Amino acid sequence: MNPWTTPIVVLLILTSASAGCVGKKRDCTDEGPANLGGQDLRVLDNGAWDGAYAFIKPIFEERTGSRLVQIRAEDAGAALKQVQDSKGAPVADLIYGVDNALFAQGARAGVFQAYESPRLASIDTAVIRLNDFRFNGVLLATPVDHGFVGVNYDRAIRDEASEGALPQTLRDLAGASWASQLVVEDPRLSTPGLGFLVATVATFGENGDYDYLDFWADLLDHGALVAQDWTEAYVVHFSAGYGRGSEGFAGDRRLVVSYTTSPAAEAYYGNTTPPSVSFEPAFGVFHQVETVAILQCTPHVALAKAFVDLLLEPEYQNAAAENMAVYPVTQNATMPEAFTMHATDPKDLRPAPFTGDDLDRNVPRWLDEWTSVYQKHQA
Amino acid sequence: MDERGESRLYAALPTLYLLLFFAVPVLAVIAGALAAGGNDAAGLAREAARLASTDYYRNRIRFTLLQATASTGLTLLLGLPLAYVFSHYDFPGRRFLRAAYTAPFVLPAIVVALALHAYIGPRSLTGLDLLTPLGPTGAILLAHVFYNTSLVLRVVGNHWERLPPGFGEAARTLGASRWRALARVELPILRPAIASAALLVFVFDLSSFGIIVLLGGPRTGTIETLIYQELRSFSPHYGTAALLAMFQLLVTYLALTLFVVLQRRSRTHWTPRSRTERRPLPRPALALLVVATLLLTGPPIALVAAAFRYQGEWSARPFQLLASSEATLGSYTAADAVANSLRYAVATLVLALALASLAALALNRARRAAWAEGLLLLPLGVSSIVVGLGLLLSWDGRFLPDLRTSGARIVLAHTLIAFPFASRILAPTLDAVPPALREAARTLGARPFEVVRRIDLPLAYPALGVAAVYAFGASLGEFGATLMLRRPETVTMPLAIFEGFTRLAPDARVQANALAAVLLVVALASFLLLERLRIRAWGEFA
Repeated sequence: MNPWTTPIVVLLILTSASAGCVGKKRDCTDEGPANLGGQDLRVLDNGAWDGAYAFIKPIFEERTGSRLVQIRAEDAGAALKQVQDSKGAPVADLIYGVDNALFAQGARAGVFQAYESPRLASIDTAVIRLNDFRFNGVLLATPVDHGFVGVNYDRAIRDEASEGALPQTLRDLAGASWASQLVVEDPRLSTPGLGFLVATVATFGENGDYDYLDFWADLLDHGALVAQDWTEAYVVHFSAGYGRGSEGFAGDRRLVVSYTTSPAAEAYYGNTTPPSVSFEPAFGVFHQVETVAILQCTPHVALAKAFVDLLLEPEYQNAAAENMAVYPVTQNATMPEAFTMHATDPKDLRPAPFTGDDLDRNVPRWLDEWTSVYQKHQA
Repeated sequence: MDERGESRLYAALPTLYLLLFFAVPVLAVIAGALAAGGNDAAGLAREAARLASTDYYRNRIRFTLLQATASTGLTLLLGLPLAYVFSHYDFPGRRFLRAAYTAPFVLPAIVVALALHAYIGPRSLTGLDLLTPLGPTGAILLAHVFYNTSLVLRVVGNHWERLPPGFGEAARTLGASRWRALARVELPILRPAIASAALLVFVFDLSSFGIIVLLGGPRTGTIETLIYQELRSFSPHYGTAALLAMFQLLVTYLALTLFVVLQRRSRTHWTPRSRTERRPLPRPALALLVVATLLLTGPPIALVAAAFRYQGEWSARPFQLLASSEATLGSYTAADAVANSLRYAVATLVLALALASLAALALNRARRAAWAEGLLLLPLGVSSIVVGLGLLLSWDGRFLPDLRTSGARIVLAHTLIAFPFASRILAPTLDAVPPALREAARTLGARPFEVVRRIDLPLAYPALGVAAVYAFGASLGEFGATLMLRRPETVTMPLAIFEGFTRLAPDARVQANALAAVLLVVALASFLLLERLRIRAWGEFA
């Protein structure tokens, strides 16, 4: 027998096997079954949905008779990239966690499907602007929770009297003693990183004696570390982050850009005093409104709509804070005890200074201007 | 059929593969990026000029080349003496140790970064802090040596142990000292193998990503990290990314061609033989082994030790969690990740070895053209994000079949890395076979395929074993392209480990540690198994 018969046969088998897996190009006009049962609904999340997913899964499955499947991404930005990369053959039926800073990107890419839930009326419009999620007048994403991106610090700073006073304002942070202890995420690549950039624009403005770019120049000159993403910042560098307690952990950054509700979440999971503390919103934060959006091309449209409705029901809204460390978007939702102790009172929440239109128009420019400063100061 | 015709025939399938799964996807990304960037030729030229005159880009491009060169040099410095020791001396645990040295090859960057910290970081388990004095650049070089030393050990060692002792003995009979015989006779004969190993190490270091990000400081970056930033930014600059990707292709291609030209085909031919007599280990060799073992197996051992820590105590609980954990790994279990990894690795192994054998034969039969070899190896040096994105963009049902929902695309991407790699490992062995052997066979009436079966394959068997180890390992440890191409049902061990590190649930990290230990053990076992197959096969022909 010819010695090449075996490899060639193997190649042919593999080729045909892979050809067999090849689906025909999917027809995106097919909305799928009108009934709710007997399907799999896939939700691509922002990497922080675990607790809420575990909570809602049995409720959803019991109510619809379909299965709920979670797909994790590192953060909302990574999730949105994944959706854009797989446009036309989406990896999921819905995306959870796209916020007001990222919404326009997804809307412009044409990956979201319009849906106005009958439960929209329950959303607390004193803090949430629905218009931020309209694109050409059409609502493409439904707000389901909100919170802040801001600066958190290692509780040890406060426990050490010799460390002196904590920074009082964002501008204090850019001084040499604090900036050298700070790790931020790259705003081009990470959702909390982008949120923090927006917070600095809101705080310092774009004109004036000391604008947001001056702040960033000081921050970088004084040794702030720019991590690629939240994972790197929180696992590798933040002294009170997830790396803490693992063998040989050497994270020495005692301040980190993260969600201001992280400490409350850690208190909830760890049931003890959380290792980190967040500054009050007045310190300088980005008000982040997170949404759920139905993706184009999903073959489970009816089921996906039922899922969006379910997330606005009191049951989920009450549980969101407890399971995910975020604030509910509906009026009259309740908050767990860990929150009253470790996070800002929701009564103090106000809508973000920037509307969806502001963000859509300006975010790319802010990112480019930031990049110039960054490249100059980290050359 | 003459050798040229044979060469064309053998080259057909590998060429087709590279065209369909490398050239088309990469061109799709570059063309798409240029179109989306809205740049005309003049705009691109201006952008190129801007990059060339901006310190930020220039420093990172320079760093890319310097760190790859330095890493390769250091890897050879440790790898070559090791190759000598493993091929000339006998000692207990020799085979196991070689497999253990190879295990780092499959580890995801985040695991290596954390293991290095646990082993020699500022607050390490050993109490020894080497990372602080080394600094970010030193840490990157160390990690690259850690990853790639086994490549030199295996590719060169495999050659060395089958080199007939006659060469060196003749030199010494003629009065040469032992060192002189080594430097003037043995090393030149081994040059093709050394060049192959160095080339593979160099391209791996050139396109290193995770290690650069995790161990580097704010001022260390490479072309690879620049492409990532431009392409994946919320304000993407596609034109810039395309320029950088083309530049990376060009640099890689030039470097590869340079290596191939430098190596030139050795004019010394010899019939390889299996070495039966090995001397006992002398003291300096023992010292070298101790150093290498500390460096190459220390971090993995620290990693396995860390996997048995649970809430500050020694415990097997992490593994129980891992075995039971549908809840914390999301839509898949750890068993899914292990099964997928093994499935992809086996498929990659078969496909890559078949393609690599064809490619190596094609190169051997042709009067070798350096430009063609450079092209063959190009996939090794190209950003895995570009390759992954390219496969998504081109095999999407418009012009080519839709592979986006098929698990096959993972194997195709892994093979793209594994097969040029494997062919580079096979090539020096095939080239060393004296042409007289093949001519004799032909004179005796053997047809071309028979020559391959009776002469080339048996003599290449041990190299095929090494190629198998790395084809398997390249798939088992692949991260970047797998991440780009992932769907929930295609999770692999490296992806699941990475995910475990990013989760809030307190046990997730513990499980990630445990899964990293599982990955190490799976890699070690596979390598030992592949070597056993190799020995048995060799026994049949020797």
